[in-house]
Amino acid sequence: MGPFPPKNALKFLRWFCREDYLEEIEGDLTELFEKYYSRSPVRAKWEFTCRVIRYFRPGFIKSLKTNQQLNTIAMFRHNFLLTYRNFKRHRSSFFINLSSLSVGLTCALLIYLWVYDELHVDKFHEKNNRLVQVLLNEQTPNGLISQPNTPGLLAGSLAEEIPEVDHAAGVVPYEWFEGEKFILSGGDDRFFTARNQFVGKDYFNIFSFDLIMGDKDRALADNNSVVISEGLAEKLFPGMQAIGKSVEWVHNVYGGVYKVTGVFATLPPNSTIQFDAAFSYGLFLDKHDKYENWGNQDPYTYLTLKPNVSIDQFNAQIGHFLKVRYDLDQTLFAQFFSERYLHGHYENGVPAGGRIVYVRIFTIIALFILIIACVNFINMSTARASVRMKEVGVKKAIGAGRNKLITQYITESLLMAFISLALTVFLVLLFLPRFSAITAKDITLTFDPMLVFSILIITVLTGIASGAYPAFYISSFKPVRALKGQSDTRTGGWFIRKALVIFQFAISVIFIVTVIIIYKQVEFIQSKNLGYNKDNIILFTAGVPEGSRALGVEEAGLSGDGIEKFLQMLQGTPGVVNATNHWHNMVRGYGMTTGVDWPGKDPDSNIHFAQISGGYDFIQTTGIELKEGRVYSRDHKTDNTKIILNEAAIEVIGYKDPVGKTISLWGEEREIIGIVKDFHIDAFYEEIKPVFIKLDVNILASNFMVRIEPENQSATIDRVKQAYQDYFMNGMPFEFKFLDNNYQQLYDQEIRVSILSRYAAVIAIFISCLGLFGFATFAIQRRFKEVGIRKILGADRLKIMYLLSRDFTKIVLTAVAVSLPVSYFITKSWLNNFAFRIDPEWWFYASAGLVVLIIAWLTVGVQTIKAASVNPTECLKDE
Amino acid sequence: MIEHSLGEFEELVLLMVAAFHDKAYGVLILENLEGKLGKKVNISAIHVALKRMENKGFVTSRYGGITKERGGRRKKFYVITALGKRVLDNQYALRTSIYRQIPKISFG
Repeated sequence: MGPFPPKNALKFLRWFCREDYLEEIEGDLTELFEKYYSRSPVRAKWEFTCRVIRYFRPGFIKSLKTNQQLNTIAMFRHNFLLTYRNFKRHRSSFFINLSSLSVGLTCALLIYLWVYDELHVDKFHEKNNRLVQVLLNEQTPNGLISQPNTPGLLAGSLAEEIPEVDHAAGVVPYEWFEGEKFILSGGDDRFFTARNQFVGKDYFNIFSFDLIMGDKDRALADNNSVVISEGLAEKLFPGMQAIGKSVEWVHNVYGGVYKVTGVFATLPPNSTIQFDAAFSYGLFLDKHDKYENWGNQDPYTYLTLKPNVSIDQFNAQIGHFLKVRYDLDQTLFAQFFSERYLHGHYENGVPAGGRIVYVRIFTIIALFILIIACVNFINMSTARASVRMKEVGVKKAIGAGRNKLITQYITESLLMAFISLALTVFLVLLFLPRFSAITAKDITLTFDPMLVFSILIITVLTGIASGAYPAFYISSFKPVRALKGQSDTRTGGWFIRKALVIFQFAISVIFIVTVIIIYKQVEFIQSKNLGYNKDNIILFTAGVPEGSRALGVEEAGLSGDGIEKFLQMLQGTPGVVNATNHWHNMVRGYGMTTGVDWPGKDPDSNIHFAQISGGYDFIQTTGIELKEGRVYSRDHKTDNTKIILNEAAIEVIGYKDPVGKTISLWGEEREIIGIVKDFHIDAFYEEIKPVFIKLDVNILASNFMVRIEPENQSATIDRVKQAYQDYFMNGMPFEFKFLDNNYQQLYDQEIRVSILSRYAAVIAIFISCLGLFGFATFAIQRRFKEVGIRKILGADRLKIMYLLSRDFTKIVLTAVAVSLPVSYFITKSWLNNFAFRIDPEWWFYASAGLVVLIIAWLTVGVQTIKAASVNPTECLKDE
Repeated sequence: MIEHSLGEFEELVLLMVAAFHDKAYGVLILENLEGKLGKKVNISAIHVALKRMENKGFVTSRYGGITKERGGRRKKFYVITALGKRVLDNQYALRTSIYRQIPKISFG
C-alpha cells in the first residue's frame, strides 16, 4: 500500500470541487504527493493540504445550481409523497399527532400573544429609553422599603440642579385620591365623572401622549388650565371645539373654573397611565402648602434624561440628594418607567420581580405543553419505526445516505407542524375572545411581520424538535438487519418511549397538583373570615350639595353637618342596615404613618401604623369585631380626640390594660377607648399591620359606605340613588361599587392564574392521554398474537386485561412518584408568598396522582377490553 | 479578439502543451515549467490556465487509462487545437517582428 494523502484535505476537496474537474485535480495532487512523500512525508502532507486550499476558488467550486438542485426538488417531492401516503395509511396516529400538536401550538401561541402584549406595555413612549421614574427608599425595621411617593418639590429641584435631566414633572395620579370621584361640568348642569390628575408643565414632553390640539410646551403653564381627553371633550362639549372652553370642577378643595388648553388622543390600552383630565401641578402645590416641607412625600416624579446619559450615571448623582440637601434619611433611585410594569416589586431597595414572574411562569407552561405535544409525535414515530424498517432497509440498500433519511423524517415532522399550524390559527381565532376575557386584555391576532416571523420560528422549532429523535433513531437501522425484520425496539427505543411517557404524565401531575393548590388557596382567600364582613356593602362618593357650588374652599362640598344629614337620610331608607362615611376604605386604601408615640417607645423605632379614618358607625357598618371598650358614639361629644386600636397595635405598644390609657398621635394625646380584633386590610401576602381607627366627620371623609340587606338589593340601591339625587345637586352621577368586588380585585392576578392554570392542566392531560392512547393502541396491536395464544391456553379476560394494563400502570405510577416531590416543592414555594395560606394536605397530592391514574386507565381501557375480547382464531389464522 | 487573448502564463502553459504533444498533463507541465523557469509554480495555477484555455478553445483534453499510480485516478491529457496553434504562431510572429526592429544597442 502506498502512502495516502491526508484524509480531511481530500474530503474537503471532494466536498467543494466540481465533479468534472475532481478526478484530474485529485490525480495530479496525489501524483505530486507521492513524489514528495519519499523525501519528507510530513512536508508532503502539509503541502498537499496547502494545495487543496488553493483550489478553493470560484473556478473550481461546485455551482450551487445545475443538476444538484433538480435532485433536491425531486427528493422533496418524493418525501412529500411518502409523508402524504404515511398520513393516509396511519390515519389514527395522524389525527392524534395533528390534534396534540395543534392544541399544543394553540396554547403556546395564545400564551405568546399574551407575553408579547405584557412585554410591550408602556414601551410606546418616544423617549422610552430615557424616561425614568424617581423612587424613594426608606429604612424601616423590615429593611429598605421602596415607594413611588416623593417630595412635592423634587421634580422642579432635580430639573434645575442636575444637568443630566432633560425634562422633569411631578405628578399626582388619580389613584392617589383613594378612588374619590371627581365631577366636571361643561355647563348646563350636566355633570360627568372624570379621572383627574395633576401633572407638571413638561408632562407631555416626557410622555408621548398625543396632543390633538394645544401646544405641549405651554398647555399647562397656567394654574387655571386643563388638558382633557378627546373622549371627555366629546362628553363635555358635544360637537364643539373644546379648546378655549371653560370647565367647571366641582370640588371642595380644587373647585373652580378652568380653561381647556389642550386635548389629547385616547390613551392606548397598553399604557398603565390612564386619565381623563390633567390639571396643573402648580395648582396642587398652591392648594397644599405642606409640600413646601420636603418630609411630606406624595407626588410621583417622572423625568427624561438627556440623550447619552446612562441611568447609572444619574443614579450616582441623586442617591444622596435628599440627605445632602435636606438632611432626610432617605435615598433616591431612578428606574426606567417602562420597567416598572413588569418589575414593580421591590426588595430591600432594589427591583425584585413583579408581574415578570407570571410572564415567566406562563412561558414555562407554554414550553412544557409544547414539549408534551412534541413527545406524542416522537412516541408515535418511534413506535411505528418497526413498521417502517423495511422502507429504511430498502432505501439504504439502494444507496440513500443517513442524511437523506434524516431529511425525509424531518420533512415529515415539519409538514405535520405546518398542517397543525393551519388548524392552530383557526383554534386561536376561536378561543381568542375567551382568552382576552380571562386575561383582561384586548388581545388580537394581528399579522405584523414580527409576530408572523416568531410564529413560523416556533412552528419550525416544534417540527424539528419532534422530528429529530425519530429521524436519528430510524435512520440508524442497519440495512441488513432492517430487511431481515430484526429490530432493537425492545431495548433503546422502548426505554426512551417509556421515559417520554413518564415525563408527560409527571408534568400533568405537577399541573394538577398546582391547580388544586391554587384553587384551594383562592377559595381560602375568598372564604376566610377577614375580621369584617365584606358582603352587601356598597361604596360611593359624595356629590356636591345644592348651593355650595360657587363658594370658597372651606365651605364648599359637604360640611360635617351635611354628612350627618345625609347619613340620617340613608339610615332612614328601607333596606339599609347601616351607613357611615369614611376616608379610607377596607381594601388596601389606608394611610401609613410613623407619628404614633407612647411611653416606652424605642426612640429609634421607625414602625409604621396604618391609619383608617371613618365616621361614627364605621366599625358597626363594616362589621369589625370589638374586643374591649366601646366604639365611637354620637353621645360622646369629644370622641374625635379619642382613638381605637387593633390587637396588633396593642401588641406593638405593649400596654397591659390598654383601655383608658393614652397614646399620642402626631403629638396629640389621645385616649384609647376601644380595642378591635385584627382584620385584613391587605392581601394575604402581608402580615396584619398595627392599625388605628380615627373618627373623622369632616370633608376629607366624604365617601359613603352603606350596608344593605341581602334581599332586594337592586330596589334598595335604587332608593339610595334617589336619596343621593334628592340631597345633592341635580344631574350628579350616582356611581357605586360593591366592597367585595374591590376585595376581589386584590387577587385579580391569583384568580386569573387559577383559571389559566386550570386550562393548562386540562390541556396537558388531554395531550398526554392522546399520546398514551396512541402508544397503547400500538403496543397492544403488537401483542395480539400473544393474547390469542394465551386465550387458547385458557387465560380469561380479566387476566389478559391485567396483563395488558400492567405496563401502563407502572409507567403512570413512576410518573406520579417522580412528580410528587417536585410539585410539593413548587406549590410550597408559591404558598410561601402568602402570610396567610392553606396547609397543603397529603390528599391534594394523592388525589392528583389518582386522577391521572384513572384517566390513564380509562384511556387504555378501551383498547385492553378490545384486545382481551378478541377471538383467538382471528388473530392467529394468518399464521 | 477578447476570446483570442492569451496571458503570459497561459502562453507558457500552451507552449508546454504543444511541446509535449499528446502527453501533456498537469504534473508533467508543472515539472517542466519549474525546470525551465527555475522557480516554484503552483499546480492550481496551471489548472486554472488549462481550464481557461480549454474554454477559449485553444486546447482539448481526453482521459488516459487507469494506472496504479495516482491512487488509480486517470490522467487528463491536453492537446493543442488548430486555433491554439494559430494563436501561438501569431504571438510568435508578432514578437519576432517587433524584436527585429530593435536597432543595435550597445550597453558598453
